[in-house]
Amino acid sequence: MGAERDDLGTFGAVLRFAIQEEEEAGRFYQEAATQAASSPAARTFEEMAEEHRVARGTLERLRREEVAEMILEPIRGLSATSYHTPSTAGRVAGQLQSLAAAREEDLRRFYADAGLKLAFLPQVRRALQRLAQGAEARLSRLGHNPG
Amino acid sequence: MTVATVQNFVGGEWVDSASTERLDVVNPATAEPIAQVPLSTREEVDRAVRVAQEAFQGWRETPPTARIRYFFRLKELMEANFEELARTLVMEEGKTIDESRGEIRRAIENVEVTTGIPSLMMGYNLEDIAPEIDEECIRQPLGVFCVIPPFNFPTMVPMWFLPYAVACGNTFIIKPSEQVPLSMNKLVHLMDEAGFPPGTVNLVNGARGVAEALMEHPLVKGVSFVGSTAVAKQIYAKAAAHGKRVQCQGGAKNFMVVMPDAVLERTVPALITSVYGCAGERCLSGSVLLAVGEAYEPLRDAFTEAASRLKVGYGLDESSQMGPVVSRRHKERVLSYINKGVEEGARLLLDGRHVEVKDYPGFFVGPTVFDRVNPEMTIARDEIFGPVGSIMRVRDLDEAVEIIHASPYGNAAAVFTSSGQVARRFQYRVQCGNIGINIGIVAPMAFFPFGGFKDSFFGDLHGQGRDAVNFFTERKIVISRWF
Repeated sequence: MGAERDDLGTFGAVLRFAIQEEEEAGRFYQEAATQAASSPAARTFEEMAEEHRVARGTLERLRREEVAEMILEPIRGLSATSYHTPSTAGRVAGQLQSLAAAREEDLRRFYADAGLKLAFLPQVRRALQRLAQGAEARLSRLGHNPG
Repeated sequence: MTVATVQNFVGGEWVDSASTERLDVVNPATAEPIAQVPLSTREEVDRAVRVAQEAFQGWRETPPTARIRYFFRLKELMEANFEELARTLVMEEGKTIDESRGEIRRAIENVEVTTGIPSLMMGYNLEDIAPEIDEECIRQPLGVFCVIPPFNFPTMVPMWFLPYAVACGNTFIIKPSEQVPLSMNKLVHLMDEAGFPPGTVNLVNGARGVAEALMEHPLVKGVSFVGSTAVAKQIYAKAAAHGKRVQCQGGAKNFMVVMPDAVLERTVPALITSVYGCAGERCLSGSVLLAVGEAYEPLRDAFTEAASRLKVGYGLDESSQMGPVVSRRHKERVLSYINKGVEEGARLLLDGRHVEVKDYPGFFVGPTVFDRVNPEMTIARDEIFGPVGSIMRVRDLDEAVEIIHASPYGNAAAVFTSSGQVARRFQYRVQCGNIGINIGIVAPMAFFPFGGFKDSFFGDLHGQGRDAVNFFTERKIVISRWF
């Protein structure tokens, strides 16, 4: 029962995955800030770490407050493996920007897709759209700020 | 394995029951005991009632604005402990973590509504009802109330009553379901932390004996009950015989009508949630799908396919979409209904009797779908309280309404349609307390009463909202003239 591709088949599973990804992204940027080649780049990474901390708080609040007992409908066609950025252990300072961009691109795609799957919860959909926009904005900043 | 025994909370103190009789509290997914619950004695009930009565006068004299500050604090504590409450609920009741979060959210919403008690509790007045004579209606609290909740919503159901009663100035005793006392125990710990004065909120664990002692106690002013219809009838009669106010929510058999113009891709997920959410252990669960005319075949196929994809598992695994039923005994009851459906000639499209969940030997029943069900079959008449959906083909809306009205229950019914006219006819005609229009779980929000007609409710004032305020207050009329 339950196809493997549907491993994010519940509201809670989607939100938990997002929270974990934000946690990981926050840790990544904190570490990246210590390895950055310049102080402006370090500052950018620190700001991004903070943005991911705020995003995590938003997701935890959504999970707590927007769980609508009346419409906890099964979610189909959303799998964590399509969005999870692999571990970045062993990276070198020169790769920080591309690793960060890959992570943000995964998050952007995930939030865009998850927002559609959770369209029956408009508040959640809108929040996920905003998080997708945040990832997109960071992608743009990463293009202008070499790590 | 040694497990802890839950305590009673009386007069602001956590105390062990003197009773030597204990029942196991079993995790429905693992089938292992996780705690024990004492069957408290009649003397312990008497003490709790007397303590609550002693606390009443001081509490009712506390201004409503001060009373609701305890509820503001309680809300914050519930938010801060949200995940722990939800996880406890999964472990004792079996529902999924999402369903548990939904239940805790509902409980918090009731706390939020009661913070409006200074407005909700206001009376009304009129000057000059006769020359220079005025009249006013004042709402006053009555004293000690109690709740006897069911196993399926151990946190939410008590909160349909407790916050309203206490915010209105009454004192309160909870007797949690002996099957699932843990989440309420945690919640009362939070009430203790919120600083409610000793005796305003009390908790006495136990089973039928405690419930009877509460109903018979002369100092108890009212009883709120939610459970099966058979027990609701008994409690309604007994509590009324002892001069109590009483409100009893009973069982249900909820029909979901699907019209040919229903938007099937939105209707099927709503029906799946309704029938299989909380493993069907919900008094608002959809039970019988009445497919009108051409809706039948596409609905049957899409519903069965969606049901077959549900992932059954332990509720703490976030990917689980349906958990176990509450107990071994309840599982046997559900399975006996499935067997009965087969014996009586219904066509079993999806058989949940043999579902297995790796590493969890608990009380799982898989999603089950019956087709070619007729109104005379047992599975179409009785409340199964398990993950069993039945499909019946009907000619038109009139036949669907006839079938709904033939049921002794009147808790909830829903129609799925794109037609405003059909929806309007449905809500106008159907004799049920909660009506869904393209909604499969018609669960009223905290600021509305939780409805129920016929054998689904005994009493006149329901839980939640303004009904609750009326139930927990007496209206006093004052007519005045000054010389």
